Amino acid sequence: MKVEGKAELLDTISSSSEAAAFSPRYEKAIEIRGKVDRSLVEEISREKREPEWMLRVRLKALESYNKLPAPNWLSGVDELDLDELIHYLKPDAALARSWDDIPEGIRRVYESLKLPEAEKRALAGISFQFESETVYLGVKRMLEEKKVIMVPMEEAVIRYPDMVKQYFSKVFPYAEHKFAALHTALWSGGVFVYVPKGVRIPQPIEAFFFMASALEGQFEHTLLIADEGSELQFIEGCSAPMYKRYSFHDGMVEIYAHKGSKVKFVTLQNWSGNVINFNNKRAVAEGGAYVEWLEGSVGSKVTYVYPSTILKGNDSSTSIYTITISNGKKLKDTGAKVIAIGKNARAKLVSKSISANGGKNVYRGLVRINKGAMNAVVASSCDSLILDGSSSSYTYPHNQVEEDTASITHEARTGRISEEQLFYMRSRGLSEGEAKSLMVLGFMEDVLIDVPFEMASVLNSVVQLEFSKLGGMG
Amino acid sequence: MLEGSADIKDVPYQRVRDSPTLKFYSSWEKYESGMGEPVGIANPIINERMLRGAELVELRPDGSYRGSLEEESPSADLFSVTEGRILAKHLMSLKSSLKLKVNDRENRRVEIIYLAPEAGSSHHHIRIDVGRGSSAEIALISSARSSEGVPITTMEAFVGEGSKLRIWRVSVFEREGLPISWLRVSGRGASEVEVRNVLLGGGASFASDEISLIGSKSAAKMNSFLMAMEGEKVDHLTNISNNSPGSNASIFVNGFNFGGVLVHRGKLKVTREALESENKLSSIFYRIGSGSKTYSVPSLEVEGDFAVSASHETSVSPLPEIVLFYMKSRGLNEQESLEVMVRSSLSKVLEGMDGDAIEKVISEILLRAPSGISP
Repeated sequence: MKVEGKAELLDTISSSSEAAAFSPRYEKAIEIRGKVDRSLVEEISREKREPEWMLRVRLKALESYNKLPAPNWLSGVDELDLDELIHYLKPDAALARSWDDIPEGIRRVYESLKLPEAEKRALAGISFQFESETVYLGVKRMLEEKKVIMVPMEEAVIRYPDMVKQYFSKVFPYAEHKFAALHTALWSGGVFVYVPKGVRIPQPIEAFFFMASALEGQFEHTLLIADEGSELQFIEGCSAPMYKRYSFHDGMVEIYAHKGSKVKFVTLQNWSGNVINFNNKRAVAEGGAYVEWLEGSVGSKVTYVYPSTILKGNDSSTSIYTITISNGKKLKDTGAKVIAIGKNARAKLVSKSISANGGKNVYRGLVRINKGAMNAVVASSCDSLILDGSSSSYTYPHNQVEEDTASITHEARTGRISEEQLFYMRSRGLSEGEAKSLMVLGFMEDVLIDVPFEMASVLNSVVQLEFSKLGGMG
Repeated sequence: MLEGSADIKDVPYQRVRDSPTLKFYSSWEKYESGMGEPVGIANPIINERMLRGAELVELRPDGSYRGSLEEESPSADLFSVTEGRILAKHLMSLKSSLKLKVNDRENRRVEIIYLAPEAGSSHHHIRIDVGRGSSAEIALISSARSSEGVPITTMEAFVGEGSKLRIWRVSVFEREGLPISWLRVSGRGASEVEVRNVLLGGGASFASDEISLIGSKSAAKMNSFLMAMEGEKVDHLTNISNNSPGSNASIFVNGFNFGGVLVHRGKLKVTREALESENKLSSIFYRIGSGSKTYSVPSLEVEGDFAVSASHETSVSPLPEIVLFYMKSRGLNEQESLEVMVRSSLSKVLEGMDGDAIEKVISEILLRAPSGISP
């Protein structure tokens, strides 16, 4: 699988910081805020004119939300007060199929992100969510010809109810934890993609999420279904302007990879530094299917995200790459989870984290090999780089093996920048900042080797962008 | 410190749950249901003296003891009733605390035999004070046949500057036994603390070792051998909090699972004080029998860029083909190869104890292994 249009993707990523620098002006159509209760959930459902069955799902999720305890290991979310948030914010903009049909204030966001050019040259489809709603959807004719379905999640609920009922909240049940339940009760936006049997999409599909307001909650739901033998690449990006108060993101991604399919899901999370970010991501892989997660976690104030794959079918496999950067007083609580059920499952988990200027990285991993998952092989590695005395790194991998024929390995290393290397580079004329930037990239290199070249380049650039600030360090 | 018994029911088994998919790794309910007034004395499996020439101390199920330790009213500085319900019940049940004092520049070797009850629970607490420039070797031996009892020990040790403390814990139980043991050690500057474990069997054996290093140039080393047969569970914790500049902290755990449950949770915490320290945690588990469950949680917490190295690694697998092939090429069959591996791992942990006793313990352990690991 190859990602085309690397340059355009790079532009998109690099300009997300630029987009975050301004707050777009736009008209609001509906704003629902306040205490999360039955009436609020019913109001969201009513505004969306969704069927009764989806309201029932929301209300059941709300029940779970009220019953479930808050995870007791959470930190950095003290200021989160759900009652003061806007839970649903619809801009005064209808879903557009052309960039020209979008209100100017919102269109400027896309343009600063260079999304229109990226769409033209590199993407098979693009979805742009502004606040709580999808405001632009571009689907190339090639997708339509191959009978690929790509629609906003709300539209899928209306037009493809059987498919949505089959998968929605089935891959990641809302009852698993409080924030999954909250998401399902309040979900709005996101994209639904169905790739028919045997269809391979050569270019990626991208979804971009933008939060333009402070004290806003965004709860988009992405559901990808890859039918037998199909191939799909999906990229998600995000951005938000910097406000004095925080914003809250609680998204969910569910992927169902049928037999022999391949799904690659790339996230380049670059929220502004006051976003509290939860993301619930899980895939189910049927026999012979392959799911790859690449989670690049750069922005936000606090992030909790653990891409997970359930290897349900025989010979299914997954790779989960996580790259996290905590630069400044940020917390990244990330990780990867694999549950092997089928025979001959294979998984590779690679994590790289960098902590600088008081940043904190936490890795929580789970490798669970169920009884009967014969000959499962899982290898995970977790490397952390700490750049100064005020930063820290924590690693908590859980390895649970209940099958006799399985083999798992886990290794982790936490290191620092070598004084000898720094001295060597400075003797070659590099400033301390330049030398540190180079060493950070060197540290990332061995994970980037495992990633397809084009994606590695994109991530490389994100890292360079973030650590171009290193010149100002220490 | 033992006040507040009325609140025990409100103390949770443990403050933080272990895993997103398992409620707890430890069998707290099982221990709690086995606790009660001690009944009888179970037949020990290990009858040999393990430390030649060492002072002998015998701990009895009714809370009494024989030997040369000082007896004090119950107190514990490194444990608290608020930590967990089983620990709280244990601390509340203590009749006395035993104190082992090693004076400055003194060497002491003590072998503690813990006689387990046939049923019910027994409770002992030992405090060890090792003065400056001293050394102490302590072996805690506990074993029982056909015991449904819950023998519980808490040990806390304070190691003075420039001193050495080595502790062996040998715990061999048949599948009904429910032994619990907590060890906490505080090591001061230039101290060396070594904890070695042989933990075999029991319906659920729980052994927790925690070392905190303070002062400079200290060393902490943990080396454990775990083994569980079908119907048995060994649950082991190894934690080191390293606050010592120029120190060395290492944890190594080797487990052989013959169809039982092995749990190892280890944490290396490297604080900002541990300048230029070296830290390593590693564990290797082999699964030989069928139906085995192995849980490994090696954690690493590193604050600041002050340590020279900090790493952990773990593997859970069947016996590696490459090792078997090598052994085979030397004329050993699979069973003999396994015996070599078990014997080698055990010998490292028991090194320093009496040679004849080591051989008897190894023979006993090999005899218990299923389907023909012959001594």
